[in-house]
Amino acid sequence: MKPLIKKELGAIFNSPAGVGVIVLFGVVASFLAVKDIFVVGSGSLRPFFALLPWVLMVVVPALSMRALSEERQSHTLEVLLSLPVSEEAIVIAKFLSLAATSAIALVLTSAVPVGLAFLIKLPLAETLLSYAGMYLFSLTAVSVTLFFSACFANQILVFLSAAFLLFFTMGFSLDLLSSFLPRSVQDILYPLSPLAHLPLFQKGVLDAGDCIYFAATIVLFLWYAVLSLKRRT
Amino acid sequence: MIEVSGLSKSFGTKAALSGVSFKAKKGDIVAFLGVNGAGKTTTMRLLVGYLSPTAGHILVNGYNPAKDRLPVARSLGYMPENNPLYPDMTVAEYLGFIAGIKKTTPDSTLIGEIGLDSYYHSPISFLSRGYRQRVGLAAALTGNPSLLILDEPTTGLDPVEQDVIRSLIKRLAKNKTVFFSTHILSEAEELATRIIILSQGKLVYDGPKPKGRGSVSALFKKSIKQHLNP
Repeated sequence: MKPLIKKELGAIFNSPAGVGVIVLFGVVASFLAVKDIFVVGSGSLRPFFALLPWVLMVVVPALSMRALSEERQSHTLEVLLSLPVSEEAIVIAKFLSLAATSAIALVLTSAVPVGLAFLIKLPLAETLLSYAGMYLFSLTAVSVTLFFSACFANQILVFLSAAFLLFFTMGFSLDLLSSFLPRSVQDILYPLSPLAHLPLFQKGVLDAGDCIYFAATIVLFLWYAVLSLKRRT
Repeated sequence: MIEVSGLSKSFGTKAALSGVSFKAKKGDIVAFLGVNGAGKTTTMRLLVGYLSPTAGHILVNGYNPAKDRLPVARSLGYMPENNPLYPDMTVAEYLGFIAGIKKTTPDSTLIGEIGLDSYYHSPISFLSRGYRQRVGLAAALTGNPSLLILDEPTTGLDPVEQDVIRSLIKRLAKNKTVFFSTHILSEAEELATRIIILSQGKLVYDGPKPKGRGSVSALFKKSIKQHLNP
């Protein structure tokens, strides 16, 4: 699996588009955080962490969309699958390299909380767990995008499908939905939303149920990606 | 080494292969001939386990590639049609990547024999088509596989590069079973010990290479004609 991870990281960090997306994310996310602090005049990172999933919903699929679809489009998947490497190993290697990339992207935003910590007393547990929640959300977005990337050769289609599915499920936890959906339907849909599993992280509470939700979603979509890769015939 | 019996493959309602059977033993150099769409690439993809058959059986070194792809992959080297590579990698990175997956190291002797040493640190995207073909061949030969499957290895190359690739195959494929497809009948005449001809997904000839200059071309034309106008 090591050669695959090395190849994937090389493909992301040797590509101007990959580096560009990561740097742009760092700049935009930091700007959003700074804007809340200086424009709104709030010394809290909560508005930043409330907005970050919406940015990640676009950035993570943009970073991950090429993972398998490019292999399919350029026919290198045929070479890869003639080598002694399993479909599971391919998907896990792609996932781990994108997980590392997502971690780097999130670390780029850490300048804001670190800077803020010099000015005010920042709640450490809340901030660290908020980042942990954002990271789990990013990994979920990676696994969703990998699944679509295993299904389609067209990268734009992969990006749109992943971003739409994330947007759609995130919408389950918005108040907007309560205006036109029956309560019983809302009760079913709400726990499916990744946004419904982030508030406790942002309060500095590590809840086993939230961790299980993210872990289960990640494993489910990675498994679907493996199945999709195996069903290439 | 390779046993194929009653092999059929359909894509939706279109049959790409129907009831193809053949065997190949160690040391055979088999030329796969047929017009476009005859089923050559499909057969090769089935042999490496990239596709699964609709019906029939394949055994490669005792393993069924559709079910046990990994043991089959450990014993073969494959160069698909159009030789897809990672253009952003250098030759060294690509061969290192392939060797890493095959749990071996790039073979410097092989790289020298293939004539890649002076381009070893060049990006693949900078190489000519002929040198890319050499990279694909080096990748297929990495790990010294006992079976080599080459899908149109000389297509699109100039006559000089075609000769180079042919002589490399001849020299480096010693003691291996080689399956290669081609539209260049003189290539089959030069390299093969056995000929398999496919037409519209059916096997129309399987036997030793006929002797004599132009004999493969004559056999090919006769077999296809007989199949199309029985």
